[in-house]
Amino acid sequence: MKNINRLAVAVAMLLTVGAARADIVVVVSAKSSVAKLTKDQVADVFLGKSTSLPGASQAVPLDQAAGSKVRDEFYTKVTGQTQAQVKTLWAKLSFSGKGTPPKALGSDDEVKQQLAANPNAIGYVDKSKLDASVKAVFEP
Amino acid sequence: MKSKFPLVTAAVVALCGGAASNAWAGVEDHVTFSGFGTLGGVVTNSDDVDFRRDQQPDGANKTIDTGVDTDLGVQLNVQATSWLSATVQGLALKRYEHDKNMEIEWAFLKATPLPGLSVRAGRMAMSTFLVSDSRNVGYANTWLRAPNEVYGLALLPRIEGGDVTYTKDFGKLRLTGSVTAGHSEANVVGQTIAMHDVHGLNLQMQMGDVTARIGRVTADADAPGIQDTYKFNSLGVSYDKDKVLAQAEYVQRRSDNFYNTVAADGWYAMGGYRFGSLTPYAMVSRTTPQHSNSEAPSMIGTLSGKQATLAAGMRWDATSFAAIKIQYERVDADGTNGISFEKPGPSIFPGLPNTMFISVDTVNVFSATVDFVF
Repeated sequence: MKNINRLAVAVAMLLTVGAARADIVVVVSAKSSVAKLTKDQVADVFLGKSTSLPGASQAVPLDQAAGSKVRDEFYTKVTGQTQAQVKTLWAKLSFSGKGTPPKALGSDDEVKQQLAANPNAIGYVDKSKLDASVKAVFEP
Repeated sequence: MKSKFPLVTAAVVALCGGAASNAWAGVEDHVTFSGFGTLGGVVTNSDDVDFRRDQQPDGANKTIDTGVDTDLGVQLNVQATSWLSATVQGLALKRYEHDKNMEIEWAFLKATPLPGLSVRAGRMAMSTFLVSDSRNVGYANTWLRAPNEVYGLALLPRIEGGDVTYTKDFGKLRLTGSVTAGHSEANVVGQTIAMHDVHGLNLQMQMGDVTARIGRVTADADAPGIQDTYKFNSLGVSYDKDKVLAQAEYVQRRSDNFYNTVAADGWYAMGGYRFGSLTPYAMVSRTTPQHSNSEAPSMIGTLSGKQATLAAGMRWDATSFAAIKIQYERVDADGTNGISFEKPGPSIFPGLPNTMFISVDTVNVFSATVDFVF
């Protein structure tokens, strides 16, 4: 009995860890003409290497709050870089007048609102927050 | 001397100021205000000479000096339309003359009329190195400061004029070419010299984790007793993948009429490795003055003597907005004036820093900084 309890606790902990490690998905507005994107195409836009996406004239990347789990997960999986590396890169770009870092939004819902308002915007949200207002274009 | 504030520069400042003050609420999405800075302290094991960077008039000795690396920059960026933007950056740091410590570093308009094509006009950084635009932004760099043996050789940090840049992708290869033209000022041993007909050419190649660039700058110097053509050739390559970063550059400074005073070569190689938030790095750098037998030996000495530095340091990304760095350097000028030194006391040129007819051997330098962005 004791062992079963322990097992249950262990399973519960594993589940919690699983839930804490957000599964993210890269999204654009449902009205956007962008269909599917590759990892490199997404990374280029969020790292300031590209300002457009195939099938759209302009790309406006949207970030989530610094230090949030979704943001950590996104940059680790899509760019392979730490938050500090990404911030260093943007310091380099923005203070040489080569671009401004993506605007940081407070939640998945805010990202979806911005996407609905701007067909050029691209963001990332927790997979569980997908709905008809947005279109998934890349899933790491 | 030329006007310090030409029309384009003034117009950009006015545009940014107007946008920021009048229409803040309406164009909040179009206006970005940001800043960067460094708080630093440097100490050496010698009281004979001061250790400095670039053309600073004095620097650190056995007493800690906070002027060598400390700086503060603020930047305003106005994205007027999807193809037109304006950028103004104010930067305060210790420069060659005290009344110039705080300056409008850049003020330019940038237009991107076609994908891949951008045109800028105003005051901007001269693209001479791998790290030309952001060398004063400590946070953007792994090293504590750019190696003086290479970066200290350039006499034209910025230009007033225009540039045209074109970027084209060929599969995984990205090529960028840019041409620059305008006028500038050089500061040599505390003297300001007007530079006309400044021309720059830059070619950059990026493929995956490797970036390589080659560049050339030419300019005509015009001052009482000085008619000369200044030339600066540069070559650089960097590699940055996952935890490993490496970078090397080689430059040549040349002069048509004062070869034995001005000519020098410089190079450095640097490597680092990221252990989580800690990035230890090491760097070796060297300046070698060049000599021409077809020209009479220089009566006015050499601007830059021999100098070799071995450096080891560490960057620690302590918080999300600041990095802490420490760096140790063993600087050997081999009995010449080197490039990083100034000798306190009376100068052979009264009122100007004493950097040419001095003799320096080995100096150990310890530096620490906090770099931040906001």
